[in-house]
Amino acid sequence: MGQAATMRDLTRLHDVELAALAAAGGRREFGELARRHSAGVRALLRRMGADPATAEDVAQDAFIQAFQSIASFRGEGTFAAWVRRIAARRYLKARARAGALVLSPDDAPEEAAPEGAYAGARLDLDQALKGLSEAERLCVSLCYGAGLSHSEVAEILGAPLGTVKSHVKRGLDKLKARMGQETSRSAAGG
Amino acid sequence: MRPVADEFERDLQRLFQQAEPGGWDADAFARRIEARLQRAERLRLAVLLLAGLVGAGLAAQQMMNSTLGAQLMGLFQSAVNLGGQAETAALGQIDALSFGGSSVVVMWLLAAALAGAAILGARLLNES
Repeated sequence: MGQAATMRDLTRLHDVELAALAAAGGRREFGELARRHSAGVRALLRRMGADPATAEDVAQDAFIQAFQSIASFRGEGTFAAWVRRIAARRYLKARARAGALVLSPDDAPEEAAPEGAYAGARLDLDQALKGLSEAERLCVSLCYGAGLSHSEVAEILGAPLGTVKSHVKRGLDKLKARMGQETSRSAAGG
Repeated sequence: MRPVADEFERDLQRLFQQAEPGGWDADAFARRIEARLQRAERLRLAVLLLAGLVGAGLAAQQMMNSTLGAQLMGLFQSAVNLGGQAETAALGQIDALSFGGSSVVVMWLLAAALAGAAILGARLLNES
């Protein structure tokens, strides 16, 4: 099955087809999945606060783990979301092992979003994330980047659900405020 | 939830799906993943081969232990029946079996190693 697929143009196959071929042992098919989704996984890890080398290492480990458990991917969600969740969990575990994961309540003052200022503008997410505390950045990235629920994030981080929710809300408000400002500047300049 | 929040959160999810701008060599990353998977597969084969060899060795040893006595008795009986030189020859064979036990095990191990190497070679050829 795997050998037959190498004769085809792998780039034309859907992720679910590639995953099925990879589940039958197809390394080349899985390589195509890695080629498609590695940038997204790495971007998520960087947005969660990983340095470039760590992001590369964790992304590699995440894809290897994904290959080993590819049979459990049933195509119910997207492959991209599935492998992002694996990568996010691996990164958090690595940080927890290093003792670098402490999710403490943030006492920073809230940054109120200007009412109605956000109008769907394209802005630099990476730049905006820099204005968040580490806890806010992690929680927002896990919820909106890795697609985890608040409960899942709380479980992974070992933090109370309420703490996670407040970090997410505070992070969203800050992002909205920054994005709103960016939008306003774009509108004024343009 | 306010509509503006919905729109914002949708956009945020969309932005998170976008990769970072700048150079990211996805092809090189994919090649590294494939190489790691290949190394892992080879390591798995090597471990399986080693386990097979150990198992074959143990099996050979067990077989020798369980049947050697019966074989010796049979040989002894035939030696008694044959008498004379035949008896001497049979006893010599017993000696060879008794003291050459380790060489028989080595022979079994070598046979298992050769079989394992042949299987591994066939797998590698098939993969390449």
